[in-house]
Amino acid sequence: MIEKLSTWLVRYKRTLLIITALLAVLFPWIFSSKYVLRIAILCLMYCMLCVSLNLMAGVLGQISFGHAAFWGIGAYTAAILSKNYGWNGIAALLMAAVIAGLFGLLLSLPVMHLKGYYFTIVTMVFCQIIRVIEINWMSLTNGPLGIMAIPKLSFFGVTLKSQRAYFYVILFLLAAATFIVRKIIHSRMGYAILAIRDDELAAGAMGIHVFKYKVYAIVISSMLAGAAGCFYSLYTSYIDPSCFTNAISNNILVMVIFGGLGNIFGSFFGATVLTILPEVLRGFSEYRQLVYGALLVVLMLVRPDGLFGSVNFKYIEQRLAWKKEKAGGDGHE
Amino acid sequence: MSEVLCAENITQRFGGLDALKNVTMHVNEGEIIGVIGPNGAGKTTLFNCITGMYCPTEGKVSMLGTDITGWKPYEITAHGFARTFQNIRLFPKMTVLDNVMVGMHVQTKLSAREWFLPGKAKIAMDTAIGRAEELLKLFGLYENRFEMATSLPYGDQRKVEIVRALAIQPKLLLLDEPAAGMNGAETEELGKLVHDLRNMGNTILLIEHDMRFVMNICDRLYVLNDGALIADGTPEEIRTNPIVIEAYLGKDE
Repeated sequence: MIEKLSTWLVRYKRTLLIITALLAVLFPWIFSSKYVLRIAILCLMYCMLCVSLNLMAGVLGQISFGHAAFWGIGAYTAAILSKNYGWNGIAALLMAAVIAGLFGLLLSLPVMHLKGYYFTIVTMVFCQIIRVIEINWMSLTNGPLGIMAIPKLSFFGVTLKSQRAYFYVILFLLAAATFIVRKIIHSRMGYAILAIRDDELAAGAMGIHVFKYKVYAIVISSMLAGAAGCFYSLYTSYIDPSCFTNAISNNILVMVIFGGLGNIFGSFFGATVLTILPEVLRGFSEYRQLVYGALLVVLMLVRPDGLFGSVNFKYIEQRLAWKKEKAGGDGHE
Repeated sequence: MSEVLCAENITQRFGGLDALKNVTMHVNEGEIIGVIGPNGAGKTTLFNCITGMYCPTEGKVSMLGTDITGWKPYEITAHGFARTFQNIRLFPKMTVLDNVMVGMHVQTKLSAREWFLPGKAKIAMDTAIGRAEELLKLFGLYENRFEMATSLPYGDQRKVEIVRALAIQPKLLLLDEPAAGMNGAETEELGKLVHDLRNMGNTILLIEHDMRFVMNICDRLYVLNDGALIADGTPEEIRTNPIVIEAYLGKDE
């Protein structure tokens, strides 16, 4: 069924993209309730986090339980820079990405030779360490009290206050992140990173500098998470260490796996469904977590790769085009 | 004729085990050279030393006069050696075409200046796809290019691996048991292909068990036994060499 759906998605890709884009742009005008918009904004931000984690976990194949750490680093960087030093939003965004990327680099260098579970454990601990630093470095992060009254985003003197404005900001950031990740996957670097995921030794024998491309993937992934973090702190204008725990890391990873590792569309899907679902399930009150958990278990039983994990849209597209070309060629003869 | 590969006094020790003892060999441009020997003779170890998977304990490997001993595999590949593996190592989640495209990695590298020219990367990739498709046509795999590589029959998977290595445009192509697991007809076809590849200007070093295959296509042979080189020469010389016959069949009497 998923295969059929995927083929259908590919076949009507252009139309669906236009419709989705239109809906996304019109969304804040259709729904004006603050609650719905807030959920939508968080949903888009989680999409961005998932797209960035997907680059590390799905494309490179290094499962990370520490993505919230990069997100948190970005958030704290932006909060401190804009509150204490009066940086404007764009500068803070860039710096948040750079600092998160720097931490990605620091994390990736010593653990490059670790694979699979060992890498995963290190990312888990990394997330914990960053949180402990956030709690204890009082002079910089204000510890468990968090940073309050972070100035709102402003462009050229106009301060963004409405939910609508933030919706468009995150929509733009998400589009940019998706564009970047997509570009990478379909480039020479993408081939290299995918080859490393499939077989590191063979990738090396193809002339691929395995170490270098792993670092690239991890750094870019963490930079995008840092940018998402910047958005989060400027949007909520309050952050504290409990926002960036291992539990959040797990959530992001679950979303990526739910949608399917290595599939950008899957990441969107996973993030959207798993952000909206808990809200929809509010009717079940205390049984909410139970239903949520049961759904995940069922999915993992039915599709262990996640919903779109075994689907490669590029290949479906190529095969469709090839079929068409062949049919056309025969027609002429 | 220049020496594409020259290995001098290669010794590889694993703990107390001497997997290779003082092996010296060379490959000239345009030759097809075979490495044969009984199981465990050290043939694949020799390949691993040449391609940088191992760093030889002693000895020197050079490529066209450049000393490449101790280089990393990716550096050696970028410099001109490409290999296939004894147990096929295709990228399982990729199509045939994408497997070959990974092999284009070295060829699609942009110079620092080209990096900043818009559209250069796309042109490089499109050219590479065109070349990959040409190579696949040559091996009769063009129709299968959008299939998952590991879904192909065994013989075709071996061919994809060779195409992938050719995509690197190597100065020397190292084939580790290319005919393993193939039936008679497939082996014969492979022999023809290897010959064609040479005629197109490739230099080939191969490990093989199939004696008829080796005797038919190789210009020279090296025979390894127990990590040591016991003979080298033309197939004719090897066939009649008493030391080789002894190594393979045991002593008379």
